Amino acid sequence: MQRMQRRFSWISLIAILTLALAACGGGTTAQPTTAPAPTEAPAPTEAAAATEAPAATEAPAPTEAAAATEAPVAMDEVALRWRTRPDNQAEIDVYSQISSEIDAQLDNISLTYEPGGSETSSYQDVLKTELSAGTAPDVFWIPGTDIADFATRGLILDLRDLADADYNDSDFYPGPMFHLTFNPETGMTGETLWGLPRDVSTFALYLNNDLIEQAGAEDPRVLAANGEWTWDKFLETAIAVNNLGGDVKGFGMNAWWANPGLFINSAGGGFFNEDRTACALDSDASVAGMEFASRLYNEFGVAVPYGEDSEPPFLAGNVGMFLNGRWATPGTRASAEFDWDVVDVPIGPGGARSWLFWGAYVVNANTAHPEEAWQLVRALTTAETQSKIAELGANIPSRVSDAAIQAFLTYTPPANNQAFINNLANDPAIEGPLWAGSWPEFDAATGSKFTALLNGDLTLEDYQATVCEEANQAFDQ
Amino acid sequence: MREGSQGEPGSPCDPIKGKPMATTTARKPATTAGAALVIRLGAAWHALLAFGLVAAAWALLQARWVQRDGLRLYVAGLILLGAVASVIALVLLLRRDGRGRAISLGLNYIFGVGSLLSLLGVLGLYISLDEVAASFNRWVWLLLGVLVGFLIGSVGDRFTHAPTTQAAFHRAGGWVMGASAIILLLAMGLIQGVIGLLSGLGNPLALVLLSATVLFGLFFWLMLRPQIAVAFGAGERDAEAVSGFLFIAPNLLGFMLFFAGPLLFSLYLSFTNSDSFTAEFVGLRNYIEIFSLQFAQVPPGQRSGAVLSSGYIELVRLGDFVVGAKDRIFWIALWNTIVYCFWVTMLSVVPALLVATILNSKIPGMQFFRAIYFIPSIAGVVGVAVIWKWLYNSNIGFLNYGINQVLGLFNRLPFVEIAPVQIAWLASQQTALASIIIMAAWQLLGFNTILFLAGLQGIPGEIYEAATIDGASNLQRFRYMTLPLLAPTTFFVVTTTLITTLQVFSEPFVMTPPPGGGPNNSTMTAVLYLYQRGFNRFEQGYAAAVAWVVFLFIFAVTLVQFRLQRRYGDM
Repeated sequence: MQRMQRRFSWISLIAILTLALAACGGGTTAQPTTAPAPTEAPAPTEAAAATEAPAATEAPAPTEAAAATEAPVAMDEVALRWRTRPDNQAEIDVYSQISSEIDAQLDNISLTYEPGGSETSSYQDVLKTELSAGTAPDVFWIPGTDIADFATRGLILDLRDLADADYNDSDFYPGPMFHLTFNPETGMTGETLWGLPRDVSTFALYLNNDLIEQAGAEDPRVLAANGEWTWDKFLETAIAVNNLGGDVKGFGMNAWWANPGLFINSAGGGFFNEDRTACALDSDASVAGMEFASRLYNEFGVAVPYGEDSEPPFLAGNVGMFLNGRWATPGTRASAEFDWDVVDVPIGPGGARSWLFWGAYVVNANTAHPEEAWQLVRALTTAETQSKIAELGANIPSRVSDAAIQAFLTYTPPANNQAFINNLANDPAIEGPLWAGSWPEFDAATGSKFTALLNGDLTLEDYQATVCEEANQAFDQ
Repeated sequence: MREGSQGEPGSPCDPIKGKPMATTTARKPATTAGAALVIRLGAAWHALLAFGLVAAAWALLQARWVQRDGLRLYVAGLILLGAVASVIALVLLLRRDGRGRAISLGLNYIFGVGSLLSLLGVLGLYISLDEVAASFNRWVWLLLGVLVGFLIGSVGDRFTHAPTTQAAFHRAGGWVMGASAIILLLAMGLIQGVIGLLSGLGNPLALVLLSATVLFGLFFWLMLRPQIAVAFGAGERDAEAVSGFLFIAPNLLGFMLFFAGPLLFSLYLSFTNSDSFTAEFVGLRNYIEIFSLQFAQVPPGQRSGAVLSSGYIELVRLGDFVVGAKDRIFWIALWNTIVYCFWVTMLSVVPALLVATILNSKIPGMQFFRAIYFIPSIAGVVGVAVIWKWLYNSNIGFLNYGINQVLGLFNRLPFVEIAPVQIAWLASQQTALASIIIMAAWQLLGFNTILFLAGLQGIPGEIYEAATIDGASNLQRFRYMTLPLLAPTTFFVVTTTLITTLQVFSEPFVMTPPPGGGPNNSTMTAVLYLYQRGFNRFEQGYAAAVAWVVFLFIFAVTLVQFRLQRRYGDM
């Protein structure tokens, strides 16, 4: 018996050792030869192989397991990892394909694409953790609101010195480029280059034409074409649809800053004062916007409760108008079994001011290969690449180009793509970071006030008196 | 341990096998020349080690590539601690003090394991584990050969009457099994692995680590030798201690590395303004901000902002008095956590006892129902939360649908007309926390039921029979027999439920819109709040302080519970 045990112990030990040996071999082939020695700072590329599989588990794709798409690494190639936050498997597939194509185009660069984010894991939180641990990808996408936070903490590279002669800031929409070239030390724009915008998007109202027709309301698209798509008409339409009864609601929007922000913007108000150093949500114009939004919920009861995800009831055919960005198009295409389209956002006292949403590809400050990373950023933002993404329907190309817009208009449904372009041209408020404060803190402080007001737990007077109380603390840093 | 098994106190013995050694005297035994040399070498090694560790700590503090100051200080501190321990070991070894040998063994073991693990890291072992797993999946079918070999060997068992044939079958089976395993290993890249290992050893750092591993291992082995144990007068108890520590060492190291280490590090962070990337010591500032409260009287019709100092936000108003806090959300989160904890404990413990009592009865089909009640406990919290989120949807959720169906039945009655409801379960601050409590209680109920059931089944049936003969009613038996006898189980169930619920995170994180805790902070809990401060806002130092406050709160609650259990346990 003892002999058997001893033999088993030896066999187990040999098996473990040989497996360990096999692992040693795999490690040497997986590491890029150009990566620094393991004793040096853990550069992102160095950790590429180590995190490829975990990346898929940390950030599972919405539908299937989002395995990282990795190209084989030749001995003399530089390995780069890059990441976006796709909304669905179709986007993951397109980004994977783009990664393969760019991999083939760029000499001596091997790419690994990692889809990030899921319903239960925050894209930014995972990214920040990886940045802290030194295992973040070389190139990654972040939303426009995060640029300042990442830049001022030195987490992303200023690419200005790497920019080639054929690169021009004016190739992209000026709103995002204002922030992407902002120098926090001098307070001037045009001096730095924190990244390039991947895409832009605006809000539009997604319409359930069947419900609107059934309610006997005027077609919002016709009203918009005639310049009559005002808040009053919008409210009339919402009430008419809501009166259909049952589970049907006239309007729905999700609980995040941009949705109430649309009404604030369209009322002529805004989140910040002019130089973005203080909260302006308590201004009369801003409060007027929230008053209108509040009436939709509390006085007329025509909206899906604020805080509920309005997309599922809209896709189920229970909501007449659903406020969302271009990114909701793929899901609507896939799930809506009713006649749907989009229309411009309604005209308020301050106009029809949508948001201009954007996000950018930035380069990890700790990358071992900044020049190659810049090449990748350029390749990811070419007109050709952007048109492939835009064709999916999730966004609008970030390059200022009539050709890009004309191509975008052909990506139907929705038939009325022009609504997004109208909102883009109609002086939208720019989604932007807080260079003089903390956006997450501001967002947390104001988000709870929006919710309390729209759910009827706070009077308009109390809202106006307190909304900036906590939010202004975000500027004290 | 029996006294007789220890031999005479202080008698030296084989440190591994625990056998008493030849020398049995209270005074220090004579040291052989070899042992004396080893001890002197060991002392020299610790002098060298202390010097090396101080140099390493200094180099680390100067290092530019470690960007995180906190981490650098923390690791440098640990290294210096090792250097101090090494100096102590050196002094004690020279004095022939047994504690010096113990410290030497511990240091050599810890640094030896550390060097080995670092070496494996430098050789790329960890990076490639995924690849090995993938490779194993690809070639696992080759293990069929092992099965075939096993079957061949098994066939041999049939030839008990012909030992030669039997042995031949066994041998052939063994060869087939061995060959299959070797082919599998070759297919998985054994040869490339050996090449990789050899080329990896060309890295100077790998060579240094390999040398360090060998040296630490050598001195650990030397200090473990019976002659050295004798030289230090090590007794049986010392030998047992060494063996015991060796047995628990893997777990202890894991605990120190992945639990105690981060715990201490988080304590350090709580006194800094760490944002994950840089950290400055700020003393008690984070704790002061957490606990900063202000009480003030508010004249009627005036807002609290007019009477509270700058930086304080109204937390609660009690008549003409207002309580302001610098960190209002922390107090809201703490209150929500207490409310959540109280209700989930009540709703998952009391019903669990009743359900367990029913399930303990001998009714046909009870096994099935026991399994049914346990199922929610098996399901993952996140999955369950996502499902309940859909159930709670005010527009298309099944809960409102079910309620309206029931109301529809009432509406069929004459003169009854009840309007359909559309309760915004998770969107209203009046119902959101309650909704999450219901879900959590539902999920915990099954687990608590099983625990109570186990406790109930541990109560001897004869006691109940005796009580029945004495004329006790069912209620009396439950009140005066079941409850007191279940007290230890009840204590365990309540304690674990309290601790679990005080750490609630996933439910509000998943069920409310990002970043969680809404609407209007009504489902913000302490752990969710510290997560948001730490990860959404890059305020790791402050988050660590919140974590420690929460820890102390949970600790205090548990302590009170223990005291109460001792006082009323014999009820």
